Amino acid sequence: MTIPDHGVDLLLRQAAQDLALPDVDRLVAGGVTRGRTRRRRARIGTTFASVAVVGAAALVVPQLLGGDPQTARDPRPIQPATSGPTAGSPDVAPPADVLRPLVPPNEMAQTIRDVTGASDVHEVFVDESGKDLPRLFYGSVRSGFISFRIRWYNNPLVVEDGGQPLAPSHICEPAVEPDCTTRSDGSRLLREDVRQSGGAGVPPTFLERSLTLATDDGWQIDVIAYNCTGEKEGVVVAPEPVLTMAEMEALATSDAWYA
Amino acid sequence: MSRRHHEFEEFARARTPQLYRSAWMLCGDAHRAEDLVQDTLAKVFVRWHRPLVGAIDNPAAYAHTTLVRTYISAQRRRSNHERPTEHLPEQAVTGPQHQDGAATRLTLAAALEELAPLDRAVLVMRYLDDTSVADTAAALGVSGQAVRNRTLRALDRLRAVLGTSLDDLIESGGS
Repeated sequence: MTIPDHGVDLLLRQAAQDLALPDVDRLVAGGVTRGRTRRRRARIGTTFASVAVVGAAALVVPQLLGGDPQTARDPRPIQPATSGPTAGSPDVAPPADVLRPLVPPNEMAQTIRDVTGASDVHEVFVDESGKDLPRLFYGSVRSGFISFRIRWYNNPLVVEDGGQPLAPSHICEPAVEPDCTTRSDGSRLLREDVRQSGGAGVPPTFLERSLTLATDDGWQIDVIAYNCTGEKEGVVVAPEPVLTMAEMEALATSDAWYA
Repeated sequence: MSRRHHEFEEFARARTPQLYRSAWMLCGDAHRAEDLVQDTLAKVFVRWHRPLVGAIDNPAAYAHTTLVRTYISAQRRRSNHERPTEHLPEQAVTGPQHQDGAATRLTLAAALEELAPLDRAVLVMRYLDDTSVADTAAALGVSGQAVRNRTLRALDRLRAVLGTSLDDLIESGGS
């Protein structure tokens, strides 16, 4: 770290400390008004959705009871009364049923071995609760340490809790980050090339290279490769991290992770 | 007014100054900061009044996470062409100390403007809000390693932008 933490800490605090505060009551009143509006919109959306379901049932039930066969043969799809927020909406997480299910962890581990040539891959954390779906794997390639993590980062727990889900493209901005690109399918790729691993007590010879992919349907994949045998401890085994950027990109963008 | 609503207003009044400070450091100007705080309070209001769910475990942390996420989403939606070319005047303050503070703040804001939104968010959460690496990572949906990497990168960029004036800024800001 080239500048001491306390310098930035101090500067931020000093800059914020004597900031002329606006009228707090006015801000709170504005927040309450906007909050009430959001609640009303949510209720209206729920009402329309209910109306759409009832409308669809009104068309289907008579048919089941021997109603007008002309209606039953009508090939036009039944449209909902309103179209709600889509998975692409920046403030709305994709509905869980549009997300691809992940293949079993043992198959994922085997694929990581096949793609990277890793001698051993360990599943460190797998959450099968159905709420969040992280998979974290640690492995060793050419004696060097790698980590592979895949998770649905628009965690439905956050959404249900009223929080702000993160949009798929939140990881980086191509306009301001040259190592950030938008792929043809809309996903974002952040390539962070060789750098010191950093962190307290980590030898300066420990290098890492990382890549993060965020997909439009809410998956985020992180791959990190090191030139040493461990993240914080171990010995240096190669002059560079043991996976190239191309290998990491192939790993992250593979369809093999999804059932 | 219901007890729940009264409690929300009390919470909002108590937290708004700190939320506003963080918002200002993220946005770099008073008007966008106020807008961000009101959007944040609105989202917390909805969660606070949601029926059939318990109270928020840590409302202050929840509000700050919502603030940062709302900022990042808004930044992504903003067109690059919408960036202001100059800052609107702030509220008038008097005295040399305030003038020094304002100059420090504007210099820092200009330096922060050079950072990617997520990097700014990491710096503000880590160094202004005192959020741990783990909590910052959870709030931003990235790994702890990514938070550390972004912190290092953001600090390096701030150092490059501010140059040798960093120490002077700290001194003048504290005078």
